[in-house]
Amino acid sequence: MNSNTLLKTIGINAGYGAIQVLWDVSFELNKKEIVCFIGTNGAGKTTFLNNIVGILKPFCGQIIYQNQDVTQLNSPERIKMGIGYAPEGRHLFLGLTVEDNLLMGAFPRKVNHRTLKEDLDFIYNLFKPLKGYRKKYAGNLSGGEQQMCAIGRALMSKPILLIIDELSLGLAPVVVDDLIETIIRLRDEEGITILIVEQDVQVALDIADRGYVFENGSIAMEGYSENLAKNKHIKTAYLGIA
Amino acid sequence: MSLQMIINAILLGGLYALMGIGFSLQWGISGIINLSYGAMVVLGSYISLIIFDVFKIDPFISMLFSGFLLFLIGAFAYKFIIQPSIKGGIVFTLIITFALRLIVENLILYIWSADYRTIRISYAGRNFQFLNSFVPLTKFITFLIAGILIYFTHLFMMNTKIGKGIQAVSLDKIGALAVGVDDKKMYLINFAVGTALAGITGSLWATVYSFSPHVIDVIIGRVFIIAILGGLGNIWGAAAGGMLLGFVETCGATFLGAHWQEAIGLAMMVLILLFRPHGLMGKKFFGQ
Repeated sequence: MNSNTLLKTIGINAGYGAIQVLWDVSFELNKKEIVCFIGTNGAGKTTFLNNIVGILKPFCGQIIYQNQDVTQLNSPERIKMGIGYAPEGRHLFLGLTVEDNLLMGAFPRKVNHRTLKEDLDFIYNLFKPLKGYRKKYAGNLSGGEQQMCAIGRALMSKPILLIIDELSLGLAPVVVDDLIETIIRLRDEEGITILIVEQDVQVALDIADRGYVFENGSIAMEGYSENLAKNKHIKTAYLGIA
Repeated sequence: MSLQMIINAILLGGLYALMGIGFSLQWGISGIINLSYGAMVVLGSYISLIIFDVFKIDPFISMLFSGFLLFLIGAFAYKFIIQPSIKGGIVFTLIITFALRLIVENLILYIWSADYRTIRISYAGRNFQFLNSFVPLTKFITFLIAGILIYFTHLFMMNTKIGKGIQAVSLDKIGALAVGVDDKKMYLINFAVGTALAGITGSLWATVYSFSPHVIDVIIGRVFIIAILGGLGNIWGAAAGGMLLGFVETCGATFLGAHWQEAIGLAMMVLILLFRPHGLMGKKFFGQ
């Protein structure tokens, strides 16, 4: 294993009970990379993320994170190893305030109030609208603000690896542009490795260094974003360019 | 409505409030309708009885031991009996907790028989006067302790790390997993806290009323009413539900006769379910 590799999966077969969704998925994520999973609904992207995070366990295969086999660890143990996860549908604590949501993100860490305060300020600086809504219930936020809150919550665990499921789903294009900018800053300035699931292939290829294309539960194609953008199959099937 | 009646109602309501909270937390947060709850309360009474008989220790002190022991029993029961049954759905957990009740009930019958027992503390009969009414001393202490414990439970849920984890799983399970909360551990601790409260309630009950295995049914009926009145999983809701039930029962017993006491509580539950299905304080949270 390359010393630059942060996360690697080998031959993951997984699914729900008797239904297999993923077939032999192997992938690699290098440190400080932004990698994107592309694919239609039901291609298995979220199932794969759930296996990486440990909410699901694979039928067979191996997950290696920071040179350690984490396949048998449960999700709290993996999250504690520096994974920040913004799940599909955001799953904010809608009955709590924005600030309490963010603080909940620091759950696995043992830190004092001062550090938490600094970390909160970092999030408010990153996502300026959240600061004004600190005391507002998360359920009263707009879609874009909720996504900021979800990413902010994931960042409160001070992750090495940030995973965002469905970054742009249901958001206005301006909001998406801001989010993309922020995510690239997080990688460049904070050195966070980022893994994103994105259905909008244009957005995905704008933001990511590399991409994996999921089709019917396995990886159909992989490569650098600029190469994927030129690929004929991608152009016709995902970008709608003849 | 005389002052004496109001005092009686408040004192009864305090005990009901504490009694209902554990059941409400177990149902609302861990998702377990715990039919063994009544048995756990009565077991708490017998634990205090045996400690009183052997060591002459006051139930107001031995309640700590009841709580501790019932916490362990609750944790053990959840881990090895209830949690494995969750996959089978709600009917399965109902059957399992009912079986647990029968086991505890028969154990009590075997050791102590079906006779009614009382713990005779030296100051049991004392009263103090408040305006023109009398306040029974033990009931008053019971009320105070119940209030303090309810407040502590609230503080535990709001301010401790584990309490926050329990809040997180009750609000959004996937969200809780995403921030690294161990959901199974939180359900277990929450359930065990519930049984600990049952045990302490049992010890307090024993200072005021007599008890026997028959009391199990009396209690399980009450906690259903209290939890539903207040809104599931809501501490202050259950406290208000307990207080309300205390008032309704006291009024029912005074104005309609003691044999109406239980019927009127159930009638109130039906009314609340019809007009406020989330319970009195069941705040409807977004998406919940």
